[in-house]
Amino acid sequence: MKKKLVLPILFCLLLAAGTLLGLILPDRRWSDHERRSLKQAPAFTGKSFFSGKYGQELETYLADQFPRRDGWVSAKTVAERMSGKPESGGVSFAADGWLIERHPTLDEAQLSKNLAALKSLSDRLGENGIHLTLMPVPTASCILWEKLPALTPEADQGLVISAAEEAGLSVCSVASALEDHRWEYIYYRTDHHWTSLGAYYAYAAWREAAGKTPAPMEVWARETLTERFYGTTWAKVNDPFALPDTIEAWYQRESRPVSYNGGNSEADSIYECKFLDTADPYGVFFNSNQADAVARGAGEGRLLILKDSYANCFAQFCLDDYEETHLIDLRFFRGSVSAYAAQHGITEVLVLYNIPNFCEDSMLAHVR
Amino acid sequence: MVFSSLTFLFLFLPAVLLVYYVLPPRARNTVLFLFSLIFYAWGEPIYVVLMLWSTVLDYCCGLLTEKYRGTNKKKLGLIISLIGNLGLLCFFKYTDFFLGSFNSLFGTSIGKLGLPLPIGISFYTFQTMSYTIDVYRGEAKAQRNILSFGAYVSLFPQLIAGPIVRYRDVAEQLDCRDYTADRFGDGVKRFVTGLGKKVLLANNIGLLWSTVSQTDPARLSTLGAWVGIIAFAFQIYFDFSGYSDMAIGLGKMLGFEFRENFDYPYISGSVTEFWRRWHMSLGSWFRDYVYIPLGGNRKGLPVQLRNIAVVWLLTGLWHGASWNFVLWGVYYGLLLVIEKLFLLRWIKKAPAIGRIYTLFAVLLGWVLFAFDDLGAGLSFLRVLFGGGAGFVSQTALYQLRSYAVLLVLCAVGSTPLLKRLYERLRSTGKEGLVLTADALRVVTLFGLSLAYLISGSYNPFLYFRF
Repeated sequence: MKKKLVLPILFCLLLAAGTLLGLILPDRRWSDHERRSLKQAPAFTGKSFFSGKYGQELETYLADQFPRRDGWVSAKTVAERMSGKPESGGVSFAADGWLIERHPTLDEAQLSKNLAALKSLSDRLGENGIHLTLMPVPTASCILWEKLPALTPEADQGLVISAAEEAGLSVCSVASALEDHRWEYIYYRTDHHWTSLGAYYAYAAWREAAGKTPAPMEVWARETLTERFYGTTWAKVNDPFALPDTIEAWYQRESRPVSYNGGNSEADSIYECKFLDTADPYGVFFNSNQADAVARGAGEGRLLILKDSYANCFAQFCLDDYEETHLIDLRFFRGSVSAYAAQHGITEVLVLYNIPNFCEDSMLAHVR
Repeated sequence: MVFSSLTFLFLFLPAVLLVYYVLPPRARNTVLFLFSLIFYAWGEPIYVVLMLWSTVLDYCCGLLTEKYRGTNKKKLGLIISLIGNLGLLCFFKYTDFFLGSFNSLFGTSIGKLGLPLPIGISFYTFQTMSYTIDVYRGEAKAQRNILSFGAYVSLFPQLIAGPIVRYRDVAEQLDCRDYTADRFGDGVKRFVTGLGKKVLLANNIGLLWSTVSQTDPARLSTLGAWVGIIAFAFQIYFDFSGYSDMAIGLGKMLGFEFRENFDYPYISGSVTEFWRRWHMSLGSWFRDYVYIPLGGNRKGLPVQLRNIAVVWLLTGLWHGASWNFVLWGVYYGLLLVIEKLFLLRWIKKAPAIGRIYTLFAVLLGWVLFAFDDLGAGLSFLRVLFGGGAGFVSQTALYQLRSYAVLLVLCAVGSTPLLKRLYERLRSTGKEGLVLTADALRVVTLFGLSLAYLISGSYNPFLYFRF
């Protein structure tokens, strides 16, 4: 073969391979890696063409359905890491294989609205003798800061804790409890949540702050639910070398019945193992995010937790300290919290959010 | 459609190459014309009519000019062409700018047109005007085949972002061109290099600039601002020159030879030299069709200074319908005049200082260029000279460490270093080694660019505005 033909043939082969493979290989509907449905072939209409929409949709379709798309995306991640970039898509490539979601800024305007709304809820509940405690949980980027690449600018999440105290709320800070154990496995490496161990330390700190004794670590059975958990921060960067996480269930007795959404559905266990094989394994705790959930325990009093998904893992520890534990997710719950508390004989309220979420959640500002 | 898209690489380009080379040479101009119309209509289905109008207009003007040559109507075709093209350009590009300026000067509130700018209008109107002017001057013959002329005007490789191909440069190639494997192979190398410059360097360093430019100047440190404007300088260079490389490479694959558009501008020793190396096809267009017809430097210093002023006002305006571009043009006009009067002589004695001064001047120029809003540009300038949140900030250091490798790659890519190494390799005469290097370069750059295109949603194209 003549040497001067090498490049033309090589290039034409590259183009033809991409084109033909794209045409031959079947389209995929869903990407597990990205946790979303992939774009399907757009329909050609005169209207969509003239508005330019067809062209855009075709490009997205080609990118989504490109042969071995996941491999290409991983290749980009590897190239980016090799070029020395310490983060990708808002996720830091931290030490020891941690993929940590960054929070360089916090929404201060929303925070003050949320604090004000929560303060007035706290006052209203106080009139009925119900005590409200706020537990703002720092995320991995705050507690595991030593693992972050040098110089990574992060917002000071501690300011939110002091702002909450200044707003007159009763605050339970678990920051130092988590910091004390920061070399343990208290956050997932590939997900933005805390592990059951991290949540246990927060539970213990919360009980002690209230002058009660937490159930010591030895009394808990620790069951591994999965060892192949790839979470949200992994999905964002698509790191081909990341190690999977382990999800643990902690319990003292296996059967802990729970009812969801005003009794619409019931279950024997707070763990929904069907989630372990989906794109959202963390949903194993309390059936992912439900508007409300009620679990019966062996203790006294009735606890209401207003929460984000951090509390799903936390709640497995406090169930047996109360007669009933109610979980309410304000993103889905419509109604008055104080009315709910009165109706269900709630004796204590805990507001549990991770700090960036607490600053951003606009539903909190409307809590009543 | 842009070259750095999957639609182009895996649908459009294979289709063009296949049809183009399957059909006999005499059909190829028609193939080019039709595919170019599809290429243009992809992004601008309606405005393709404007380009067709411009094609027909100048086709007729060329014939008219030739018909009336030597008579008292010899200027008729030329005048119609200039009015037609400049009218089109002014209407779509400058009407709102003039209305806006008029409104703010006189406190009126005349409604604006709000029309989107037709893609590439600044490029193809300049090309078609060059045709009629060349015919008028007798430097080119009028094209009788409207399909060949249409192929010239709409030629998709350089339609959207240049280089501005002058008719007389491609007149012969339009009627008869050579198709050799060597030229095709050169085209492949050139295209893939351009793709890499655009997708790997420009897009990624552009992320740094967009972070910096979106930061409130009050929170920006001096170091951060300098890093930011350097990133912008790299972004615009690799974006634009990458696009020119892709155009030249595609041209070669189709049998055309276009002129070069960039020649390592950032190694220039003076601003005068910079403009001989940056967007060369625009500079020579203004030189040949504005500066020299006005008398150039042959009518004494005052006339020459006036001519420089006119050219640079127009150059500024060509880049965008906004006051910052006017100011940017004036800025360069002034620098060139100063260099012409005395500075060039001084610089010659100290070339190193000349380079530093040039980079400094060009970076300051990019500040004017980058901010449509003059106020924002001024506050950014203030930060550059110490009026921000301190000299160094943690954010600036973090950005510097994040982009250190990319910045170094960009700096190396702005010099002819790699080109010289490659030429040294070729001069050894080891053909197998050269071929291996070529093939590796094509596969690596193409593969990496593909990885970024498939996974990246960030793919803005800067030169659409012009």
